Amino acid sequence: MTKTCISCGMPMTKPVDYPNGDTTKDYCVHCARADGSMQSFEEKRISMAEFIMRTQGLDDAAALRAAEAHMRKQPAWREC
Amino acid sequence: MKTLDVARLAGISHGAIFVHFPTREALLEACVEEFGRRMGEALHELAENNRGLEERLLAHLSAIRKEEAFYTAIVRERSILPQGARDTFTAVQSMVSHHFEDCPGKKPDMTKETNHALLFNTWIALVHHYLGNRDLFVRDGESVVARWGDVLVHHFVSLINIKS
Repeated sequence: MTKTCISCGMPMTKPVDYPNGDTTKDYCVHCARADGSMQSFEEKRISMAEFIMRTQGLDDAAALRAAEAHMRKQPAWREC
Repeated sequence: MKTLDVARLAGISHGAIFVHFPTREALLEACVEEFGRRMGEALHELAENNRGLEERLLAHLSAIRKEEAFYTAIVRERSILPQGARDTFTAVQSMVSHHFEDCPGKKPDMTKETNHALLFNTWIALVHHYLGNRDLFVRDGESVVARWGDVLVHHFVSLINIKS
């Protein structure tokens, strides 16, 4: 059942990792909106930067750069 | 390290490297990513089983120990590494930090006021100081983690458990 989120690259190993427990989805709970759809590039870029700032206290410009670089390697955003 | 040296160590032809990695930078980035993947696996299991901070810090060091020379080189050269490797390392560090969040057994007065990023950076600063200046702390060929790991973990845990 282990898949990798196409938006952020996080491993998804159990139903709670998926949006609303839906294991048919290719993206994780942290990349989903409240309605279960996948966040846009811009939405995810900001939330990932916030995650980086929360976990390492980086300057926001550095966090945004790192978030974008990480996302562009993921299947959902390679073509952007 | 030159790609020629990498090929020799891996027992493959020099050209074979570039079948898989277009540039030296791509190879380095992939190595950082793989290191992060292994680190993530080790930490994820502990988080799943709701293990305490001390165990997670020990696991962090244990993963570093498995590739101590590589990790030390990354730490020493981080700011002058190619951007791709730097970004990958930043992502790895956020993943590590995230696995130190919400550990059971944290004292109540620590969880409200503390800035998690600052606590994480304090731990990283401590570890990187010992690794980056290994000539001060260990003999030639000796592992920093093997010699100082337990001491650093216990010191850090007792520091953050002091009530303000």
